Amino acid sequence: MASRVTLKAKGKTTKGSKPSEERSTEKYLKEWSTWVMKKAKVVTHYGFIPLVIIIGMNSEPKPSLSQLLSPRLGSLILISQGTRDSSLLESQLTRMVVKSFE
Amino acid sequence: MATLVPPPATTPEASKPTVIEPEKVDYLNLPCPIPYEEIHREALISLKPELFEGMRFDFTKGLSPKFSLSHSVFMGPTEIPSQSSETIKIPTAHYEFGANFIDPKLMLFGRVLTDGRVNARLKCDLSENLTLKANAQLTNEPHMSHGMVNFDYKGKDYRTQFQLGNGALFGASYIQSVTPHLSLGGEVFWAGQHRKSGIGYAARYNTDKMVATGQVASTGMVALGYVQKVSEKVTLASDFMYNYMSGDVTASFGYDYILRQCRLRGKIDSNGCTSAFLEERLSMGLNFILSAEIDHRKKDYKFGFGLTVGE
Repeated sequence: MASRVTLKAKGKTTKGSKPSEERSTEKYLKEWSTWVMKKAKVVTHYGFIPLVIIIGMNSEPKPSLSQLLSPRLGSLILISQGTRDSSLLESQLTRMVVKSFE
Repeated sequence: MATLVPPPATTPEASKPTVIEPEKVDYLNLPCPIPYEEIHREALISLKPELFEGMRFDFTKGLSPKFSLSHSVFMGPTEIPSQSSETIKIPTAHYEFGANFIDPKLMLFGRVLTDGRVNARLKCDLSENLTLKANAQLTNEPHMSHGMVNFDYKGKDYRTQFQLGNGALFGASYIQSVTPHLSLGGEVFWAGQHRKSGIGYAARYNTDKMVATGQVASTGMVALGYVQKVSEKVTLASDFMYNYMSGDVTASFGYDYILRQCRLRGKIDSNGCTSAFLEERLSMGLNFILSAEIDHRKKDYKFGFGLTVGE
């Protein structure tokens, strides 16, 4: 990688006064940080959404597991019963939407 | 909603600046400015709604006041970048599942698409004035993921922000209230991977009725914006962007009508592009969206419609 090469070149310009252990420590640190970033990326990729769900399910008020999986929307059931004198298109649309979730 | 910064708590300046002000401005008690990245907020809200093409259906289900899940289906053509002047569109469809957790101290926002892309956002208040924000777009393709972490510190009449991104991206910004209406700020950034760095300045002047912003950056960008709140329901906005390195100029003018049952935003551009976006509230929790964009120069016509269910 380009950044690694420049780091090594910088080390060499000090006329070899840096002992070889320091250079390997730097290399070790870079390799280790790249490894950590790779693992963190995989963990975040697969684990972020489950983490949000776990935190959400444990927050007050605790929702139940059935609420998580069921497609029914509690507050929207009222729409089917209370269509005001809206236009025909509107009431048709709302009835269509609510039916798909029963 | 295009809300402007509320009037300052301190005594306002007199309307005629040449007359001796009967009320003194308390310079030690200025309001906190808005964050640097939101300096063009009103202009962006009015001029750049989320235009889309195709059909979109969003369903947000709240399991508790803090936690909600969202399901979103999208079917429509997506544009792929092409070298020729013709636009190439391929039909795509995807389903997106999302989970949101919103707490006064912690906000988590996650979205996952059917092709494996994850969009994650986190906002955490570490203390009263210090906020940590993180943002990541992760894909299965190697080297295409991005992540960014921001630390924001809010002072009495200033804000600072420090940014770290992947690919050795560092950025810092600072904005300060100079008078109850005017705030000035600056930012620097350094991108290690692309070997670029830049510095920028911004100024924002706002009153109850209008917001004027200006931003200059060493990358060649000059952006000016002016938003006027004509009445409670009508807001007009205009925007001017100029890149002095490449010579691109874009000016746009738009309106934002916030009516009782709907919100209509329209704009016209100097690139020969006009667009409109309508959100209509059909009933409680049910919104109907229409989006249209006509690009006269490229002869590209986009039309989208959709339904949003849930808060």
